[in-house]
Amino acid sequence: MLRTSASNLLRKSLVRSSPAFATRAATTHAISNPTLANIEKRWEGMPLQEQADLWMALRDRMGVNWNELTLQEKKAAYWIAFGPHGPRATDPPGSGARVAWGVAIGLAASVGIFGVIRFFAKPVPYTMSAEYQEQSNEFLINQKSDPFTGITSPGYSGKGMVQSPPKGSAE
Amino acid sequence: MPRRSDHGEETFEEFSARFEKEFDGVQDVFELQRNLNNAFAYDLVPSPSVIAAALKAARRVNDFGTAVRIFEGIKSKVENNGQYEQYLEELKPLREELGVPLKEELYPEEKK
Repeated sequence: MLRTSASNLLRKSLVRSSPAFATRAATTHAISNPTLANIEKRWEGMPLQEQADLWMALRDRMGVNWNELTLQEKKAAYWIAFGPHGPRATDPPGSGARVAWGVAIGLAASVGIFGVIRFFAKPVPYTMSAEYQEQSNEFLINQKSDPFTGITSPGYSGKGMVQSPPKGSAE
Repeated sequence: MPRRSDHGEETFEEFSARFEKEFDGVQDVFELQRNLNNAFAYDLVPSPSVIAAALKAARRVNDFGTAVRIFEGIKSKVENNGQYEQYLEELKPLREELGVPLKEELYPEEKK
């Protein structure tokens, strides 16, 4: 990588400024309670810069003995790290009921559409009755059709063309 | 004679020794959390010595939230509440020394 004198200067100034961060890590006074009060409710609405500042302050506080942290600080440090926000957010209350109702309404609507279409449908074709299909069987037997595996083969025990209930019975 | 495709079965003691070593060598939060994910991904609950090493690692990298989270991990891995109580009993001195509360103590109302 090409290092110009300017970039070297920049690096030096960065290196020199880093002890300023290090001194912050020695924070010994607690973060005030009003700053952390109700953080669970406020966190999502806070500007990103404030979130970052608060988190850095908490990180600095985590450097001291944890027994000296206030309860507010402990709660905030845990909640910001692992609380239900961002990727860990839980569904808002009532989501389950909403989904259940949506599914129920969708099913009811589809059953309704199915019923309406069946109600206005034409009757079953006249070929779809046991009588017609038995006549088809006789016709095929007269023709000696399918003599190796089908209806006229020796020892055939299947139903041939019959697949519908007799005429007049329920559909 | 073992087949070429065999790989050694790791005993619980070897597992504990491996992860104690891993946690002792942790340098930053990422390594701590990656090792925790690995240790808790097995079909076993890490032994208290491993948990202790993890807690000390969390203390070393100054990550308070993860220290609390470790106990949540134990709670979800153990089979019943009695085993969880035994873990808490075993780790109580270290927990009090480091000042790590349980999630139940921080957010008692969210208990289900």
